[in-house]
This record gives sequence, C-alpha cells and structure tokens, in this order.
Amino acid sequence: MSTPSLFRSRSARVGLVLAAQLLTACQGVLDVSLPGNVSASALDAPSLAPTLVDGTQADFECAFTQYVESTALWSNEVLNASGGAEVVGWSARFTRPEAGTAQCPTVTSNRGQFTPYLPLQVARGQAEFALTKLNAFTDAQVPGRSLLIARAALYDGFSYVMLSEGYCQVAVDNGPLLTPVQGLALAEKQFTDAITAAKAAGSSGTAILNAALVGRARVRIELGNKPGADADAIQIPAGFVYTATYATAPVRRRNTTMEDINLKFHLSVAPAYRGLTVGGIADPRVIASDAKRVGIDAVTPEWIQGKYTAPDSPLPLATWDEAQLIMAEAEGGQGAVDAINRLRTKYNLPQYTGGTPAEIMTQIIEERRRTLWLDGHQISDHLRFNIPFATGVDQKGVRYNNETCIPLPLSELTGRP
Amino acid sequence: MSRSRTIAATAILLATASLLAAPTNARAESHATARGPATAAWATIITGTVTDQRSGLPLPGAQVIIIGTTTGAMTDDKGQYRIPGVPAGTVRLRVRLLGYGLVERTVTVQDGTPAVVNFTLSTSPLALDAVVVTGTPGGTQVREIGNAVGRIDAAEIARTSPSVNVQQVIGQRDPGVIVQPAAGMVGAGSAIRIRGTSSLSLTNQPIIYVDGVRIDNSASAGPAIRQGRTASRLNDFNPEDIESIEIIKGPAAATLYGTEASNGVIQILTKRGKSGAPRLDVTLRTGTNYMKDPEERFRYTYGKNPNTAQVDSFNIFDYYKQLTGKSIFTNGQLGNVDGSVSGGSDAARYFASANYGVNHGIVDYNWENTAGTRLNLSLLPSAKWKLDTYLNYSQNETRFAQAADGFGIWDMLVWSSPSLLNTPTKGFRYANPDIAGQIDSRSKVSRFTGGVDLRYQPTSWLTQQLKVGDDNGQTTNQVLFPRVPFGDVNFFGARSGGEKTLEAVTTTFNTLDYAATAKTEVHKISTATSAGAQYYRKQVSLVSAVGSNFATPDITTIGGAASTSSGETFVENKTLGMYVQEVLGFSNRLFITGAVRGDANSAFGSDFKAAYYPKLSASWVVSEEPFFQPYTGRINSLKLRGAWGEAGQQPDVFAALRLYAPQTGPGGVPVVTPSSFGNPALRPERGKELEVGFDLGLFNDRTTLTYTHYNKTTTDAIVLAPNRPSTGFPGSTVQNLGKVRNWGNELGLNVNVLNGQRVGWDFGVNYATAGNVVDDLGGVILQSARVGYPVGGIFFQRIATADFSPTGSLINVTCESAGGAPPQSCSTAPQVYWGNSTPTWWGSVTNSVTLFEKLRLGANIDFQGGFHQVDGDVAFGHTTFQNSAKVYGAPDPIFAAYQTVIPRLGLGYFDAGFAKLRELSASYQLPSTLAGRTGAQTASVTAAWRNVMTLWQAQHDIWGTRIFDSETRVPGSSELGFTYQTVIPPTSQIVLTVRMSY
Repeated sequence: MSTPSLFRSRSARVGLVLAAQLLTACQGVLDVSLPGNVSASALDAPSLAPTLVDGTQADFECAFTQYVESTALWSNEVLNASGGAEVVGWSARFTRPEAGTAQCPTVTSNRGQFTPYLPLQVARGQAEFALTKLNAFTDAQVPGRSLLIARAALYDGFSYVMLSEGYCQVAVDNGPLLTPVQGLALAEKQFTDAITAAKAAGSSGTAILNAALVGRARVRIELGNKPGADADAIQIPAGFVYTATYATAPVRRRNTTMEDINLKFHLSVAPAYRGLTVGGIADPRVIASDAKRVGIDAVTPEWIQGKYTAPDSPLPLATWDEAQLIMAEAEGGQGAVDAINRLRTKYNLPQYTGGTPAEIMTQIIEERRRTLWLDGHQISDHLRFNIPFATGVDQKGVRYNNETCIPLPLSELTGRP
Repeated sequence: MSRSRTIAATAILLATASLLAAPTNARAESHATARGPATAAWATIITGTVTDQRSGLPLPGAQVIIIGTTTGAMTDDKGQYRIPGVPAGTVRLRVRLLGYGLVERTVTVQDGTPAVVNFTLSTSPLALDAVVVTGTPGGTQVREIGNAVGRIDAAEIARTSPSVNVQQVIGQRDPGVIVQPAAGMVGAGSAIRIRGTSSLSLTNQPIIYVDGVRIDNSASAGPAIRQGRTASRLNDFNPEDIESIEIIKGPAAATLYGTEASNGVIQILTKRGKSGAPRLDVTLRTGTNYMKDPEERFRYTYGKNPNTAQVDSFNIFDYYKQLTGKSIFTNGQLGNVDGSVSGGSDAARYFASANYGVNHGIVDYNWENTAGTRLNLSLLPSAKWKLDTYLNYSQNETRFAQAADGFGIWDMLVWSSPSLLNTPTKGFRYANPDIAGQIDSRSKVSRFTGGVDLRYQPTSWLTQQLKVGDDNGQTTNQVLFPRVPFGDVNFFGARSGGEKTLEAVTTTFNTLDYAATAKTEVHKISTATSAGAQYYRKQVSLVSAVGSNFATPDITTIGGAASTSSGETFVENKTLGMYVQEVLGFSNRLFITGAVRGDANSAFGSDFKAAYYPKLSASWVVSEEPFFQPYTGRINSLKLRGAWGEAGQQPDVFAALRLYAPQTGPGGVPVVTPSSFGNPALRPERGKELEVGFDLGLFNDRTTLTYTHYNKTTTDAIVLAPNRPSTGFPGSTVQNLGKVRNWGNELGLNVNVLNGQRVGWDFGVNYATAGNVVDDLGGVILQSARVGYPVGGIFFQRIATADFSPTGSLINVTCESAGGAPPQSCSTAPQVYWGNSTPTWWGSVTNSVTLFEKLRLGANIDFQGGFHQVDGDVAFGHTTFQNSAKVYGAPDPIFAAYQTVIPRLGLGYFDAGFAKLRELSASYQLPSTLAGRTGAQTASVTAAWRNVMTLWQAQHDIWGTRIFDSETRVPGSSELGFTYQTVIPPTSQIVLTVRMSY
C-alpha cells in the first residue's frame, strides 16, 4: 500500500481528476433562483420608494375592508348568516386565541375572514419601513419625496386609529403594550407628520392634507381634545371624500365588506339598520333590501346593503360627513344642530330641530350610526359612548360573549414582559 | 459556495485515503480468485431449472454461481440456467433469489459431460444473502446491514391482491409503515408514515426513489379541493412494473441519504429483463368500486319543519331514491390492460411495458384514466461495464368527486336536513347531487422519470457507480364552477357567476449520484470502503389563472370571464452531499459499519455552513458461529443487529430569507408586501436514532421472527414560532428550537404452517407500536403542540361544568384549566389536551392457503389503535347545521355548552381505532393444458376484494351520531391534521385479474 501504487491505478487517477473537477464545479452549485420574491436588501434602492408607499396603501386598504366588516359584525351592524365557525365565533364576540394571525386573502374563499389584526399591523409596519427609507433618502434621490412621506404617514396614522379604536391594547414592534389612548396619541403624531409633509408637497398634497386633518380630528375628539378636533374638522371642504380603493381582481384588492354581504351571503344587514327613515323619508345613508333568500347558513334571512354596489366600490376613509359629525360633537349645542343639518341637507332629509344637550348628544350618536354605517366606526362608538353590545343569544341561538374591545391574539402577547 | 467547497474537500480527502488502502489486498483477492475451484481439468457445462417449492412454477432471475469463482448465470423466463466452461471436478453451486432462501449444493461434473442440476427454492422472509440497494452504496447483503430493511415483494402482491396503485401495494405490509387511507374517490392518494411522526412543522413524508432516482413524493398534488389537494404523485407509477420495494425507516438506516431522510426512505425497484427468449406478459383487470351499504351506515338526519316547527327525520339516501328512482352512489367500473415483453441475452436485456386503465368512482363524474409505458434496458458490454437505463412515461387524467368549499357530494349529504326539503336543494345542504356533478375538478399529469445507472468494475476490488436521473412532471389542475343559470338559486354562493381556476405545475427532480466501493479480504477479515457524492435539485413552478363571472353557463374559458387574475410561484432547492463509509467484516458473520455524510443545502441560512451526519452499525450472524452449531437444528438463522445514526430534515426552501412578496397595488400598480421574516441561522432538523433488533429463522426458516426497537431524538426541531403581528410580518419565523423523542417496537412474524404440495398455509403478523413526546419548544407557545405531549396532540377547551337554569338557560358554564387548577371561565380558559391523533399501535395479519399448487386463498386484516380523530361532519351536524338526533333529544347542559360556548370541534372527537378485513383474494393457476389453449405458457385468474368489512371499531357514535367510517382521514396535504370534514370515506373494490404469459 503506497502512493505510487495508487497512481498506477488508472481508475484512481481518473477519480482524483474527477474529484478536482467536482471541487471546481461546486462554485455556485447551490445557488437558487428566487424570481417570485424580493429580499429586504433589494429595497434599499431609492427608486423603489414609490413602490414601498404604494405597497403600504395596498396593505392598508386590504386591512381596512377587513376591519370594516369585522367590526360591523362585532358591533351588530350586520348579522352572522354563515356556517363558518370563524364567522359564528366572531359574531358572538368570541375570539379564538390564534385569531388575528390570518393574512389578507389572496384566493377566493367561500367563508368570510374576520381577523383584521395582522393586516393592520402589516400595513403599519410597511408604512414605518417606508418612512424609515424615505427619511434616509434625499429629495434629489426620490422625486416627490414629501408627498410619499405624507401618504405613508397618513396610512400609518389610520392603522394606529384602527388598532387603538377596536382593540383592548396596542402593540408596536416588540415594545411594551400600550393603552388605546397611547395608541391614539401615536396616530395623532403620524397625522401631524402627514399634514406637514402634505403641505410641503404643495397642491399635489391637498387630498392627503384633508384626509390627515379628518384623521387627526377623529383622534383628537376621541382623546377629548374638542377644540383641536374642531379646528381640524372645520378645514375640510364640503363634499370631501378620501377613499380606500378596491378592484374586482385580484382577490386581495376586493371590497370584502360588500362581497361578504351581497355576494357571499355570510352577513346580513342587522334589523336595526333595515327600513330606517327620517320623518317618514327613507334614509339614503342606510340602504338595506331583502334579498329574498337565506344566508349561507340556510337559516338567516338575507338582507343586503346598498351602500357599496360592487367588489370594486371604494370605502370612505376620511370624509366631510365625518368632519361635520366631529364638529357637532366638539361644539355641541347649536353648533351641533347646524352640523347635523348640513348633513341632512346633503342627503335631502328633514332638518333636525335640536333639544337638550343630552338629546343632542343622543342625536349625534344616531347620526353617526347612520352616516358612518359600514365605515368602521361603530365599535369605537360603542366603546366611547357606552352603547351596549348585544347580549343573550343571536338569531340562531348562539350565545354572545361579554367581550367589548377586541382582545389581542395570543401570538402578540406571548413572551412579552 | 464556501460551505459546499468545505464538504467537497472533506469528502475527497476521506475518499482518497480510503482508496489508498485497497491495492495490496486487491491483489491478494485476485490471486485467490485465479486459483479457482479445486481439481481443475477439461471444461464442461452445467444446466438446470430453478422452481418454486410451493407452486412448482419456474423462477426467472435467480442467480446461480459457482462458489469461489465469478462464474455463474441468471435463470431465464423459464427458470432455466446454463453455465458453460465449468472445469471438471467438484464444485459447489449457490442459488440466490430475492424473497427465497439461499440454496447451495455440491456437484461433481465429469470431463466433457454436461451436468443437469435442478433447484427448488422455498420462500424465506429473512434471506440473509439477498442484496439490498437502499441505504448502502452499490448494494449490500442483508447479513451485513445493522438496521432493519423492509422489503415488499410487489410483483407477488400485484399478482394476488386487488391493489390498483402503488400506495395500495405498500399498504400496511411492513412493520412500522402506514399508508394513510385515501378519500373514497378514484385518483385520491394519501400520505405515508414510517415510525409515526416526529417533525412539528415539516413534512413527515419519507423521501422516495425509483431505481435510484429521486422522485416527487408529494402526497398533496392535484387541484385544491375541499380539505386540500388529495392526489399522490407516487400513484403515477404502474404497480405492474414494480419488482420490489425496499423501505428503510429512520436516521439510523438513512444516514447516507443525509438531509431530508430523517423520515425514512422508500426505494421502488422496477422489473428488469432476464436473458432468454422474449416473454410476453398480459394482465387484464376488471372490477368495480362501490360504497358499501351507505344507507345502512349513514345516520338519519334531523331538522325542524319551518312551517310546523315539528322535528322530522329522514335517511337522505332512501329519500333520494324515492324521489328520483336512483341511488346517490353508483358502482364505478374499473378496467386495466397491462402488457410487458422482456428477454434478451447475457449482454443485453430488456423489459418493456405499456398499460392503460379506466377507473370510475362512486359517482359518475369521478374517474381516472391512466396510461404509461416503460423501457428498462441492461447492457453488459464487458465484464467490467454494466449500463442500466430506466425510462418511464405516464399520462394520467383524473376528475375528482369533491369540489372546493362546501359544494362536494359529501358536504351535501352529511349536513342534509328535513328542514331543507321544500327548498331548491331538496333536503341536501347547499345544493344537490345533480348540481355537485357540474363542478369539474380535475388534474392531468404527464410525467417522465428516467435514469441511467453506469456501473464500472475495473478490477475485482473496485466498483464505481454513477447514476443520473430526472423526474419531470407537467400537471394541469382545474376547478370549474359553471355559471348557475339565471333564475336559479345561487347554489355556488360567491361562485354562482361561475369561476374557473387553472394551474400549470411543473416539477423537476434531478439526481446525480456517484459512489465508489473498494473491497478487500485478508484471511477472514473483509473491508468495504465507500465514498460517494450526491447532488439533488428540485424545482417546482406553478402558474395559475382565475376567471370569475361568465356571461352564460356555456362559457367556461378564463378569457371569457368578466374578471381574471393570475399568479406564478417558483421554488428551487439544491442539496450537495458527500459521504464515506467503511464496512469491516469478520468471517462473513460479524460486520461493523461506520459512515459520515456532509450536506450543504440551499435552504440553510447564510450563517450555517454544512450539516454532518455520522452513523455506526453492527450486524452479527450468530447462527453461523461455531459455538451455535448445536442449536441450528431448530434455530437455523439468527442475526443480531444494531445501528445508530443521524439524518436530517431540511427546512422550507426560502425560510432563511427575509422576503417581500409582489402584490397588486392601487390602480393595478405593482407593489411589494412583507412575506417572510427570515432566519439566517436556520439549519436542518437532526434526527438521531438507535435501533436494535434481531432476525430469527426457526425450523429451516419455516418460522421467521424479526424484531426491532428504536429510539429517535429529533433535535433542532423546526418550530414555527408565530411572528408577533406587530413586527409587521405575517406568519411564523422558522427556528430550530424544538426537541422531540420517538420510540417504538416493530415485530414481524411469518409462519409456514403447512408446506405440503396439496396444502400449504402461510400465516404472518406485523405489529408495531410507536410513541412520541415533545420535550422542548424553545419557549414558544403553539396551539398544535405542547411540551410533554405528543406531536399532533389534540388540544381544545373542555367544558368542566354546565347547568340549566329553571328557565332553560345555560348557567354555571366553566372550562377546565391547565395543570389541574380549578375550572375557570371559558372566555379565558386554555385549550387542554384531549388525546393523540396518530396511531400508537397498528399492524396486519395475513393468511395465505395454497391448495394443490394451483389455488391460493388470501386474507389480510389491518388494524390501528390508540389514537383519536375529530369528525367534522358530526361536529357541525351537532352545532352549525343542527341535524343530529342529539340536538333534538333530551337537553344535556354539557352538550349545550359545547354547542354554544366554545369552538365546537370537541363534539366530533372520537377514538378512531379500527380493524378491517382489508383484502380477500383467490388466485388460481390454470393447468398448462388449459393455458395452452390460449397460446399461453402460464395463465392465472385472481378474484380479490378490498375493504371487505370492518371487524372492530373502537367507538361507534359521537354523542349519539353514528360514525360512518373510522378510517376516514384528512387528505395528504395536512401533515398533522386530525379534523376531517366532508371527505368521502374509503370505498371498496372487487377486482378480477387474468394474467397470461407467452
């Protein structure tokens, strides 16, 4: 046994040559293609800043419709007409510990999705990721940087609004859990940043500016800063509407609020929103009609809504209507009556004559219930105005739970100090 | 790159060192070989026939050699062999054939006088001298292997059982292996489990090779239908082409397969040609698939009459028959034609086959068309070279019985209710059977699997083998909901306007496998030094398109839809592994094997370079020791074995990376969204296993007993630690945090009770136990797994107390707490452990009686126990759909609490143990005179019945609702799923097979 004997063997020599070749060939042998995804480092390019902000908007808009329909069911704007366990549980305000970890849907499902928490957090994270990048770039590197900052901050602010209004606690990254009031304060800061950046963007930032003002007014009224809320709301031009946009395709871009009521029959308009009138005149803000069929549960009479007519119908995010209601709440008294009547005029409804401060407040709550129906406000109004949540059993005998705000999912709470 | 170079360099150094050891000893072996048999003189010829002891049939493919030489021959299709050039004198012949006991005989031949030596072989499950090719470089005798190797005689099973696909051939025929039941529709497949489950997050499916070529082992292929994709790619292969199947069961045996082999390895070996005149084999199969006694097995369903509020009940099967004059289910016909031709010379052999089959399920729109062809060539241009090629092409099309999201036939049945009688669904839920047939869920697969196996033996001591293989599948999946005509009730919910989903899936598996083995023998010590390298590449690309809302029911193209969307995904994974192995043999009785393998994999994190897997095993054929000879009258073979080894399980292919996924943004602009948090330190799971056991042959191997005990520990188990949603990333982060222990016992007993020519009786039992426990989850709290409980444990909240108030309201409802604490409010109570969802004991009993060498009667019983499942059909009947007797029976506060307070699946929980008479068969070998009338040399007829009856069921009802079939399971795509819902239960088959050989 010696080395020369080895090299006298032709096969051994061939083997060694092959091994050497193999060693050389190993260069890159494990490289793989990843054409369907983008690594985080690839997003450092300034040219991709608009893509990040567009992505933020898309994430928020998907989260928003999830939030709207989920809180509509939670706060009884609609009834559960589904057989799906998730819908039944959510309808009874019973959240499973893992609920809230589902992403925005990307494929058609025949059951509704009632877990807006993760989509909202993804939107918030995306917005702040985009803001971090934008703040590190220069105007020279990113044309229209101020407008992009304003847009990202706006969606960040509204994400905080939803997370604070609907949920019992607010989580931000790995920091300590915040109270809803602290969450709303963060939202106010983001709206302020958006207002500053939108103003810097000039006329192209007007829509963002107005939306951010409505958002900040909403936060301020909830935080008890009535003068601040009134000051922001009063700036909103008549007829202003800033919407979350939707499309018929892909699935992730659909208005699921419309779809799950009118097309999938998982939800049915609650009796409290059927046939509403003002002074005998049908209230055009709350359009509900009998579909003359039962829901997917084969039990619940199906009433569909007429506010959103197609899967690509936009959802209002910040409106002059809401600004008027904020002004009414902030000003009270005759100011409130005037604000309500400006709304009634818009909708060709009889004028409101006013009453005691308590009656006016009750009327403001009722006007909000109707005007902002299926806009994602009712859960907040229930909590703010101590409107009782449903108790007892629902129309199918399912017993309501006693939750009011939405608990955070277990995955958010696990391992926190 | 650096990690792959590190492994390459290590392996090459080790390989070089091992090869240095070979030449001197090789010369010694050559010298010994050159001596040849004693008393050499003039050459003569030995011929003869090798036949089966029981049937008297010729045995092709048996290897006959003159011991101590390389001279020998293989029997042809008539069982005949011919060894020319035998020197006159005394020689000892050895005959070896897989599945039969080795036979040796001493013969004295005269100068120039041909000798005729016939052999009769008896089956022997032990077969210590059979060669195993799985888990060993180049092939090794069973006696040398320190781990258990399962071997299934697929050709025999195909001949005598009603198995119509590969999964049914594997079945539960080897201890420790379970092929989970498939849904009751043709074309459905299922997952395979070896030694239970050990991975918390990754697949528990073994990897599969066909003739050394890695293949797509997906058990969740086909269109996305109710409860997941349900086709198994394993069933693309024709069972008639398979000679045998080898199974190695865990890390101790599968070390040389490295990363991905921790769940075991299944190797399918296809038939090869045997030298001789062309032999034509034709198999004709016909039969029927049917649902056994659905009317009797299905419960009555209940409901309140919406007009009278009276509770009514009915049997939906009887009702439908009365209504329409026909049954909901039909008897689906199956037919299959298979032909093969094989033969060749000593230098070139061939096996070519073609098959075509049509298989119909229990509804007329469930069918499967299969077609395939195979060509296996073996070329032996010289004594040094051997080239085997394997080419297989198959084309299958399946239309499934189930659809997506609640519109399958079983959905409509199980949640039927008399309350729906006056609706357009006529008592069924959602739709009715006629409507269900309009949904078109189908899959079409074209698949090529091919390999080249080049074996080069330049010297008597060195063997090199290079395998190159490719497995390429092109699949088109479709789910079509046609538009429901105007004026009809919206049966299809959101899809009532019509929807079509198309997927084009391309899977490519490439195999490159090189192995070199140098063997030496000095005195009584032998060595076998092996080194090898393997490279695997897997690519899966999927292009999908969805169209929604058609103008009319006739329009069914995606382009004709009002709205369309599309998608594309691409997954790629590469593995480079190298190994060295040393086998030391002492007196051909004691063998010690040591090996190490190193792997780099594209799925590993950037901070992790390579995984190394060691192995050590020993095998001792005690019965051949001199001291054992006084006992060999009864114990004719006894092998003790033990093996310790490691293997891995690779993480998901891109789990290490932080990724953003493309999406559509406002106005249709392209955007990205967070998709994966990533883990740069990601590494494979490591399975470490120790197995010990013995193979015992008694009374001339008429009774054989094999036993194996194993202990496996999976470290670095991948835990899907849920991301805190506030990180802004969805899903989970893959982390190596867990630890799982598995243990179990496997027993195989085969008894040749009677061995006469008039009556032969073989009896066999396989029995396995398996347990596992999660030891560590790294502090992560999961819903699906808890420390101290098994993988796949079932966790739900459990009602502790509930009462009715005087007015009938539920009061005092509490749920159990963890750790024996007092019950608490169900709003805050944790989910607690209910039971294990994977079998903890299972096995089979086989009986085979042969009468007058011609008629063989067979019966197989399968059983499983010690586990639970959740029957979603029953659970939702008790709750959401309110169609069970219990709902309208005497009020029960606990039941009512489950109905209304907590998630309802607990009302479907049951003990899923069962025993089934799986197969009955009768096979008759026609007399040669009768066979000759058709021109055939041999012919046989087999009648076989699969899923004959349930012999035992651990639990018959759940809260008063009858369980239709305890064997129903979640389809293959759900690894640890235990809740099945709207899955069509397994069906039965009766199959008549005629085989003719020309």
